[in-house]
Amino acid sequence: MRAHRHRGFTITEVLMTLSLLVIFFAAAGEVFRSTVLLGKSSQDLCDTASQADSALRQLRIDAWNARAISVPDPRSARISFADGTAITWQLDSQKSAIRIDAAGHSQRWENIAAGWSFTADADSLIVSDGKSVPQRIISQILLTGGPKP
Amino acid sequence: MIAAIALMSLSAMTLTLLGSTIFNQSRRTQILGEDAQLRQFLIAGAAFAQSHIQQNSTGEFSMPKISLPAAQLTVSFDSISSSRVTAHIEASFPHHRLSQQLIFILENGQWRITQARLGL
Repeated sequence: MRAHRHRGFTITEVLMTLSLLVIFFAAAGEVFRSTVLLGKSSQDLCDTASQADSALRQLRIDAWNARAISVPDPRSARISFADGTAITWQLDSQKSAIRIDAAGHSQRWENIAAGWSFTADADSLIVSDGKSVPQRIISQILLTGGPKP
Repeated sequence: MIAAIALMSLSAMTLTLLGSTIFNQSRRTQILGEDAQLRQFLIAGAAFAQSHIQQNSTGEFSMPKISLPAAQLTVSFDSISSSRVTAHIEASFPHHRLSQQLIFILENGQWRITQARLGL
């Protein structure tokens, strides 16, 4: 009668397999963590960019028709129109940009204005975030020699 | 085997997310660049309108010689009264356009822009 021999694994084989598994799962965990973080930061970046674009688009529309642009301090800008009305833009300490129209209605863009500041020159409002190239927001009226402040 | 497949799936997800983020940002950069270019055209159109209104021109004009292919700039005037004229200026690329409406008022023999409405 033939005797059956069950060959098992040596302790070295088991330890090597376990080490490889640990390395594998560590790598998988790291990739998973990176995927989640990337997904979140990508979404945040997209939201912030979209909000900032929306605020700058509105600011462009306001400034385009401005007959005067004044910046009393770097955190606020006043845009005046030919009909005597004015719109104020403010940057608050919670990184929000706030637009207050002539009727006193306010519109707020949250978390977009970190480091933003306003300056003005002869025909434009300049928005700077201290990192990228400042955005020059032009007044068409002032640019073509319209009323000056 | 299963762990390898899971790892590859996660890597594929990461790469897809990265690709999507890069694509979105490059698209945004392209749109912002085109916007800036179109605003330059509108400013050129306003200068063109101002020079033509001084000569009492009316009607619709196509600006000649824009160096960018497929870019168009048109200027048209609506006369509301003898001392008030509205000019419509439109700048466009094939899938992107910007326009503005200017109101000119005649003051002391000179046409001046009193309103400029940007249409985004």
